[in-house]
Amino acid sequence: MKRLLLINLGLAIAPFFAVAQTKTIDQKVDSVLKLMTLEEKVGQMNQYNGPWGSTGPLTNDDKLLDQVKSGKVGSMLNVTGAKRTRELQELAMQSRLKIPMLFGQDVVHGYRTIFPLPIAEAASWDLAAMERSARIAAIESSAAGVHWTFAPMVDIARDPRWGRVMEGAGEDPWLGSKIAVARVKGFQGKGLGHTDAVMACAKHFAAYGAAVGGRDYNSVDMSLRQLHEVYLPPFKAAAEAGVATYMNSFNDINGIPASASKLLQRDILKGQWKFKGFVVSDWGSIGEMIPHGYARDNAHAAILASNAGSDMDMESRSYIQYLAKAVREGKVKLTVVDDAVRRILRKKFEMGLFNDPYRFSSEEREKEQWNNPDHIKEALDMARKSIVLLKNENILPLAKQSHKDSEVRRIAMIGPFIKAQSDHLGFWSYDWPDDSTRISSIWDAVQKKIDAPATELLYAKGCGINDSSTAGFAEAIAVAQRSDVIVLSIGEARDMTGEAKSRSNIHLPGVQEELVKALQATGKPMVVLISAGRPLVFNWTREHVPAILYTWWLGTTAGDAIADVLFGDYNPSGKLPMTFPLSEGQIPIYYNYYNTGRPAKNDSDRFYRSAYTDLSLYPAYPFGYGLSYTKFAYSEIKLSAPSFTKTSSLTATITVTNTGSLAGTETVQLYIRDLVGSVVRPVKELKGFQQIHLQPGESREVKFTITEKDLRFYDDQLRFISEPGEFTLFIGTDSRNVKEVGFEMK
Amino acid sequence: MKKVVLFFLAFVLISGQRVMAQSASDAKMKTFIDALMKKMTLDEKIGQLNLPGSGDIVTGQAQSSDIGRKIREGKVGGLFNIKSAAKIRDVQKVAVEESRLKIPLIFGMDVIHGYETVFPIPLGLSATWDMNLVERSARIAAIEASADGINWTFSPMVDISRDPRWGRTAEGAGEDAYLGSQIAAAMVKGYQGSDLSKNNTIMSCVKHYALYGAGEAGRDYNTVDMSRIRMYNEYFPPYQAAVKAGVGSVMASFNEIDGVPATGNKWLLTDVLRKQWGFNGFVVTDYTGINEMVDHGIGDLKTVSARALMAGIDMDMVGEGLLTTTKQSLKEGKVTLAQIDLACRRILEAKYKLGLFQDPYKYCDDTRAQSEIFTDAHRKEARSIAAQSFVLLRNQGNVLPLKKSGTIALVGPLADSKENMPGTWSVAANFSKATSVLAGLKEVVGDKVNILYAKGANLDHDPKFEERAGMFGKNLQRDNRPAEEIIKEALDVAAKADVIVAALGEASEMSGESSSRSNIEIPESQRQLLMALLKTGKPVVLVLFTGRPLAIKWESENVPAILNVWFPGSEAGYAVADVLFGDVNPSGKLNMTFPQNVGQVPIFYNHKNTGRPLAEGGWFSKFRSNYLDVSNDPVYPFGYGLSYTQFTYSDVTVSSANLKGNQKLTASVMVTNSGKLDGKEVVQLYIRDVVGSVTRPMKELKGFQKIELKAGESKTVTFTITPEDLKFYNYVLKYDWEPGEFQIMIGGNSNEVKMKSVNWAK
Repeated sequence: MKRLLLINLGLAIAPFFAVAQTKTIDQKVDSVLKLMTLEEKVGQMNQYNGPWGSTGPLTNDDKLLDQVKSGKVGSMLNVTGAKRTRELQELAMQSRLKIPMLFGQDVVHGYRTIFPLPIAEAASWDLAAMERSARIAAIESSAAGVHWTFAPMVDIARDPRWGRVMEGAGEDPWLGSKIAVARVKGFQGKGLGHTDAVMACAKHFAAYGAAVGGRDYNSVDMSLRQLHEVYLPPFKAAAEAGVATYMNSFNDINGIPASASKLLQRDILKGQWKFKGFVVSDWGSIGEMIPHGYARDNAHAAILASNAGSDMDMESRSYIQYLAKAVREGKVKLTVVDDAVRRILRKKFEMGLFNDPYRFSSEEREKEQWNNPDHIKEALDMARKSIVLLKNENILPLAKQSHKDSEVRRIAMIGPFIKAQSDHLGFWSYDWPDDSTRISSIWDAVQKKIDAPATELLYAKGCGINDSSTAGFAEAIAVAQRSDVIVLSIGEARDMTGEAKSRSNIHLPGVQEELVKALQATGKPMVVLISAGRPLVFNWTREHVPAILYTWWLGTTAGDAIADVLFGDYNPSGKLPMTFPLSEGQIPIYYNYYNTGRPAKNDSDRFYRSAYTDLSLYPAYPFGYGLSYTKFAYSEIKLSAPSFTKTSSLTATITVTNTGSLAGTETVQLYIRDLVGSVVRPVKELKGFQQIHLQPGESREVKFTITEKDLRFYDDQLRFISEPGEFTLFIGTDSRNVKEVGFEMK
Repeated sequence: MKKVVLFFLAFVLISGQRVMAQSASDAKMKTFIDALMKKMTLDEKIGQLNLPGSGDIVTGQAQSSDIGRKIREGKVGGLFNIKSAAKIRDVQKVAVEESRLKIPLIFGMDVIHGYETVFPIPLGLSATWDMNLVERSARIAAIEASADGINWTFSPMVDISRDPRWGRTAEGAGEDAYLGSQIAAAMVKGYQGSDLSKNNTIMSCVKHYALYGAGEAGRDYNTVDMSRIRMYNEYFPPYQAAVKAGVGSVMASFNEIDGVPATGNKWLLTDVLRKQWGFNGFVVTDYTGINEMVDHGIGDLKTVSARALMAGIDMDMVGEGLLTTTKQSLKEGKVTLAQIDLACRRILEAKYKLGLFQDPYKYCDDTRAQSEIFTDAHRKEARSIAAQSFVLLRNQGNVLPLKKSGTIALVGPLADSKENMPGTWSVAANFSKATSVLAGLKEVVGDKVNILYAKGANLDHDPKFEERAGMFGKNLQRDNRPAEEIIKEALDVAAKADVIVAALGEASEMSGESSSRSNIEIPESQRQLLMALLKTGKPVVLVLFTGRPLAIKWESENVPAILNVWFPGSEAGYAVADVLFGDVNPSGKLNMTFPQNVGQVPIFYNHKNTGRPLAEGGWFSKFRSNYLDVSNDPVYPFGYGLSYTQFTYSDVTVSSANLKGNQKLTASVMVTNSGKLDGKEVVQLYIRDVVGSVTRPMKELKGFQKIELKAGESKTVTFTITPEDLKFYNYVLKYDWEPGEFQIMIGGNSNEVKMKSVNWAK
């Protein structure tokens, strides 16, 4: 009681406190701003790559350090380590006004401890776990001097050809929004100012995932309604969660490069969403408006981008070279520059850097967090939850003990990933010198699980990831023939999915599917593990192999996570956050499509229907799909009433029963369809989910409450509204396998 | 000087007279229709908006049919796809003799690329890049159709398409808005002539308004989404060009736009079409387009019918939504009487313009039906046009033209098919009168060449797929023996020949409506045959039948000669023979990009540069916009096509490198036929606006000239460029040009051009 009261009191005084804080910071910001020359202001808007490493075409400048000393660099990226950041910050402290620099870094899925790819984490549908993952990344990187991560990437993507699908949360705006919030909260922790909180950066603003042909950096074109309905929600959610910064996207959208889009930056982000932080360009994206054919030169680019609301120039050097001149010539108003600088300084104050510019550069803390066993544990938890069981015809889980007392059981471990280590890290991760001792390989992890010598592991590589040679098949087949069960681990190489890693062919690379066929021909039971950063096409495997686990790239603890799942120490619970197509020719394919005027009922209904003549309507695996070692049965849906009003709510209840013999976690998914709209509405939209853990035989009622807010969409005037009428409510285990019931909103 | 003035005066006088005559006849029409509409009941007005399916009329007696009853009751405004003057006369008789007001019906048909004399599918026809031929084909189609009772055609289809998966690419003019606009205008002129009331002109219907070609994933009828600026710059121009050319009617498309189906989209049908473009004809739905809005999810039949009418739909094809619900909607205030009147008036005006009130049987002239359909003269033109639509994609070692001697092995599932020659949408064609490749070759070379034939392969390994691809009586007579045995037979024949001609590709119903493919390669059964033929070491000519760009990377690298013949029409066999033996030197140019694989789709020449473009000809490059596994280049670019001779281009000369305001720029290039044969070349002009207030395409087609050059001859080709050619719709959709640098490019295809830069100030 007493405690509750205190919390209440806390709530009551919090707003006053917050206002007072803001005011103080604003005043401080203004007092600094007043002291600044125009050149120093522009300097704050300038971000350089540090002297180490790069993520784009490197532009080198020998006078970099002098510029820091003369107040021309507001931020640097790719500078990490307590020692290095301290060294650089010391240079900034030699500048006239001693304004500290911000150090930014692509901490995308872990820093020292590498977590699964963001898309893999998204497959866990476990928001708390994703928040913890981001939290740990923040703890580890902030201890290494990092103030700011260029994450989360919240781009909705419906095209698996695009390499950067690995960085996002998949195709759904609703799930994407929840995940965006979880990650922002994780990175920013208890709030900016805590030394273990890093500024998050929602990227890439906006619609980067809709590149034509799935080709990275390519043009984007869409209606404003689609932009608002599908691509902006996660960005809006990030703003509401208090994300500190945004990053521009590389693409042009409807003819305007995002870095110069007033609509995105001024009208929507800083206007409608009232975002108070700052916007950083992507690497060189301001200068890249020249090849876009939008800016004549860097001077022009600086004018266009700053006026549109890009506050900080990452590495194109347009601002530092030309912005002051543009202000003096009246092409950019001083108020534009002042606004940008205020936004940047405010974050530096909030981060506490004016009090202590070295507060993140603590070698002691860095050492403390360098090998934090709790982090490894969390990473393992996350990795296990990210694995998706796609198929299982009574093979998994494998027994840990050999059942036959007299004979030795043999497991054939085959494939290019069995002994791999750094391949499990995936794109956007860090290689550390001691990786070979830290990253768990599948081989080592399985070795630990089994009851040697009663169980023996056999190994053959079979082929490389992208080999054209089948020379290793014979050995693999021989090994398979000596075994009782085959575990085959195949997939994409670490650098086949990621930035500028688009593929026109998303089949399994090289001869790997040929290896699947060859091993399947041995007649031995086989489990296929697929490591990848995107939905791949593997139809033959899907149709013929009895068990498939999609293992993405799981990070430092990949091998242990896979072994836990293979042997049933963890019952897989992942669900796909993105539709898996049957072929490249089916792209884009996603679950929340429109019905069209000529929908096909099924695959025998093709004539004058919206269908292909040569391919099924359905994907290989739908959004939300994922199996368990146990089975879940769904009852019919009960509604609290057949209808409700705009001011009341509706409860949908379903009973889920674990009818199998193992305990397991199920993600119960709620979808809604608005049957008739003033504009056409998707056939289904995810509107909720709950994860439940059920013991064998256990049943649980799962309740979802629906209010008018859940039924809103952007109408043809871009008003976010709901319309009364008939709806269908679906609850199920994935986006296709659902129970349904109708309801009305009056 | 005097001459010029006189000419100018004459021009003013003539055009002035035309305007006066026009308004006089408009006034007369108005008087007539006002009087007629005064007599009409509400039901009769609504009846005019109804275009039911012909149903039992096609097979039975007009008078006793259900449609006959509706006509009598004044519930039908028109009918479509009825073939024969006699049948149409019968039906018209019911309307003008038995209905209360005796209003004649309008008779429509899908006359898409010819009537009984069938021309190449539109994608092929437009590969001629010859507007006279395009117009001529539509003219002949109109003569034949009008002789058989038809006065309205659902053509041209002008949907821009960048996705070869979409089956209906076959029906359009490809990916380019400029070329598409020229073709749209030529087709409309061809159908409508200079006077719609003549008995040999028919009303044209431009379709599918709008953006139907941008269906997601190339799947027919699928959702469309794009920005307004893209609509205006890249998809709208051909529709607008048809309106400018005076098209009498417009068909709404199946897809939605901005979340509202085109059929119920007022912005599209009224604001853009009528207010911005000044269209004054009538708008018809596509087949059950109104009803399908129920499935789109914007209301029940009554709601969507009312929405369609109020959006600007005038005629309801097949679904009878307007017929059955409009009266009730009027009572409920969901539609206005004024809108019903407006729609009814537009239909009556169309009938008036066609002269049907003067003579309802004007298009049912039995003598004309006897003498003007499938005539030798028409067929001759069709043969010539078909030959000019072929695109020579490859000719290693000058395999082509073939000698008119020796032995030829003709193989492939399309070598001996008549039914597949006319192509998709040949409703009026008599398939048995089409000429197969085998028959055409034999007839053209007579005894001079020994022609051996074997089928060699089925269309596809999958019999079910082949069944779907053989609809509408276009069966390819599946051979049920094992594939190896069928190939073996072909190899035996090949062994006896000097050269192999393989007629492979798609069956005609593999493209067209509801014929989208996710896999756009040559079917595996045929690819295997082709590989086996190549192994013989004999020269192989691939005669490629297709209704879409196919992914033929492997073929482009391994087959020495490839002649893309689309679906050439009723005279296919002759035209193929004419080109194979060199009687006609091929001159067609692709109007759509041929991708390396389906994963590259959409790929089109007028793309944006992006902020991280790949260096030209380069690949793979880190942090550039490219794929890991395929370059950014197509197999064949837009505008591409070879000849049996060679053309060389000089550098571009421009009249001035610095221009201002409304000055004119002339850009010239000297083209030389450096080969040994006479030939035709399409000289193409592209312009790039280097910096814009919005990102602009890498190049845009802005002109072309098809020239004929004797062997060794040179000609200077000159293009005149004005600021009008530099205009585009900017971010606020204002159509204007912007000063700055422009790259003027001229060449034989979109990829191989000579370039000069100019600066153009305002």
